[in-house]
Amino acid sequence: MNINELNDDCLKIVLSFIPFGELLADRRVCKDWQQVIDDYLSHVIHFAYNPSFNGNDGKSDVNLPRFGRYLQLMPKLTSFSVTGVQPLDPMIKILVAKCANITRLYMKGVYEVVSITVKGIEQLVTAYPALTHLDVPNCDVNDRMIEIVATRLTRLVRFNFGTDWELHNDYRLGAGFTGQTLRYISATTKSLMIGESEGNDQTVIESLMAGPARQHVLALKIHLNELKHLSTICDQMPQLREFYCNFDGGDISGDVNNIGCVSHVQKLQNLEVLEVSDDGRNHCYSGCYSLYTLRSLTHAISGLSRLKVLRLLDHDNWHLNKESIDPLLGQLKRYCPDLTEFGVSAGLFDLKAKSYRLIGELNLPVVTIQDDRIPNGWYDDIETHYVSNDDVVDLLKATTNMRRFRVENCSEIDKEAVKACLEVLATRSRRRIELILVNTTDEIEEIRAEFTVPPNVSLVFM
Amino acid sequence: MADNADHIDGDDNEDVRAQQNLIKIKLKSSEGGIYECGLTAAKMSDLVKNMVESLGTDAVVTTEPIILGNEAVTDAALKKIIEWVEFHWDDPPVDHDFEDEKDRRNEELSHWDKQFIDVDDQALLFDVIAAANYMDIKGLVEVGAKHICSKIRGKSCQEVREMLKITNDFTAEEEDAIHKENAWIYAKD
Repeated sequence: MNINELNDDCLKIVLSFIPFGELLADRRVCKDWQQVIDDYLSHVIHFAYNPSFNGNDGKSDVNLPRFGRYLQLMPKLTSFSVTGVQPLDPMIKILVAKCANITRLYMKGVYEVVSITVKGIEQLVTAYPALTHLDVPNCDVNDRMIEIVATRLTRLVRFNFGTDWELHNDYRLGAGFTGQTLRYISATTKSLMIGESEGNDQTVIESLMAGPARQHVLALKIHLNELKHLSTICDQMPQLREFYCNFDGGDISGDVNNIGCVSHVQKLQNLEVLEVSDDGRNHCYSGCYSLYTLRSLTHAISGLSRLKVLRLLDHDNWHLNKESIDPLLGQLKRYCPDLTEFGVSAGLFDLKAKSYRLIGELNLPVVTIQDDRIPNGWYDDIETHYVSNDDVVDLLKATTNMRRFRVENCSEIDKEAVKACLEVLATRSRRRIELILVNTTDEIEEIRAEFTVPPNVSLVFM
Repeated sequence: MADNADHIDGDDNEDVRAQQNLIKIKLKSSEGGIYECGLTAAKMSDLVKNMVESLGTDAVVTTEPIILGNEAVTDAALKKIIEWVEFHWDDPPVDHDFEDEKDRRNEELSHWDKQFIDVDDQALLFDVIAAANYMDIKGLVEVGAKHICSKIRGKSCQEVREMLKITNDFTAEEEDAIHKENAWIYAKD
């Protein structure tokens, strides 16, 4: 068979994997291709725009005429995402003019610039009243924008704002956000992801509890500076299936009196995904104590019989007092039969060799191990057990069920660990297992070609 | 996220899938060859899956082979396809939590898939893709598509034609006109 004997649908699928710029050039190959490519483009429903489309060597500034031309080729788009391009407002103006049927929108701009304005949001909701998904993860959304989105998008299923600033210092929502319009979020919204703001916890929680979201949201992401609000959420929103809760280690280290609030998590009996992460960043250079919360969380596990995913993560931090995680692992084994994924940061907890063995005993298909991003030696006065080669390999040996193993920020492990992991995985009968190394040392990545990767393993560096 | 709840719940549990794959069913190519394939593996084909579901597993196991009548399903193509589904049927579930990362990772095929799909015989390659498309095995069509794209990437139109044995049916004027239409793509502004 020749490529042009493939039927049009099939040829379309093949061509859809060609990068955009080249695809347009390939219209010149032959008449069949021209027709199929034009037809393909006119039916494309999802387009992901990134700086490489700008034609200016990957700079973030959008080239508006070009942007318009791309969209012109794809009038049937229903889903559009843009990442790392700015400014967003003029892009919205062109988007609404060219594409009438967008229902899903993901817009992540460039963090230093005012990314989106009330006018931009107005244009969006006017053009797309049937929008179901709106993600503006690093946009400085204010109260008015939330009100517009909540009251005029009557089919909105997911709203995500201000939750992803890529560890930049100015990562909080600005002064225009108090949270008081969250009460307008309607009953259709099942997934609500709220970014961090400074000192507005009280208003955010009150407003959330006063509106339909309290009863109807099933997946909630929120950042808290005070633990007492955690108990309000747990008491009032027992329907939650997914709960992503960020804390700020620096802020809650003074909140010792409210540690008991964490035990309210056990009321979330429908919970399937729980992510507790420490988001403390630049203002946390003195050690903090955020995981005073651990003991209460250990207790709360007994109520979470439907839990499938538990992640206890840390973004970039250093902790003075670390507690042992072993009791919590015991609870998971006892109370959570459906658990399939566990992620933990050694930057947050006191993980000893025994802890890794206990995690191994859970025998979960998906495991993430993080280490502190503060490299060894920065704080010589603190005794820390960094994730070692043996820890990683022992855990993997015990986890015969492993499908995806992520090892993040581990500065102490070296190529011997990678080799040993690959050897262990080569003996497994599973046909595909992913070993994912994130922020590993340069040395390991440089010699990646030297590793003997067994055919059942995908070795991924990120 | 909540709207992905269906995916999170996933398929039957893994043990059941493993057990079911011990059950062998017969698939018949358009050239008449009959080949055995594990049930779970064969059900990666939506076409086969639908047949099994409407006929019932017992019927499929005990009676005549499932006939795959499309001419692309040659003996050689069907053998390749069975090799692929028998390798992939217990793939890890799709990772929905890291959407951004997925884009980066998707760029390359796994080692196994690369070796599997890099066949010298171009006719066989397109038979496999067409047959996989007919049998509705999305993952395999994608592997084929990515492989072809990796070959096309960075090549001129003429090189693409030569590689894929495509005849240029444009006149010089027509080709020039398209080149002009596309000019904005190459312009650096």
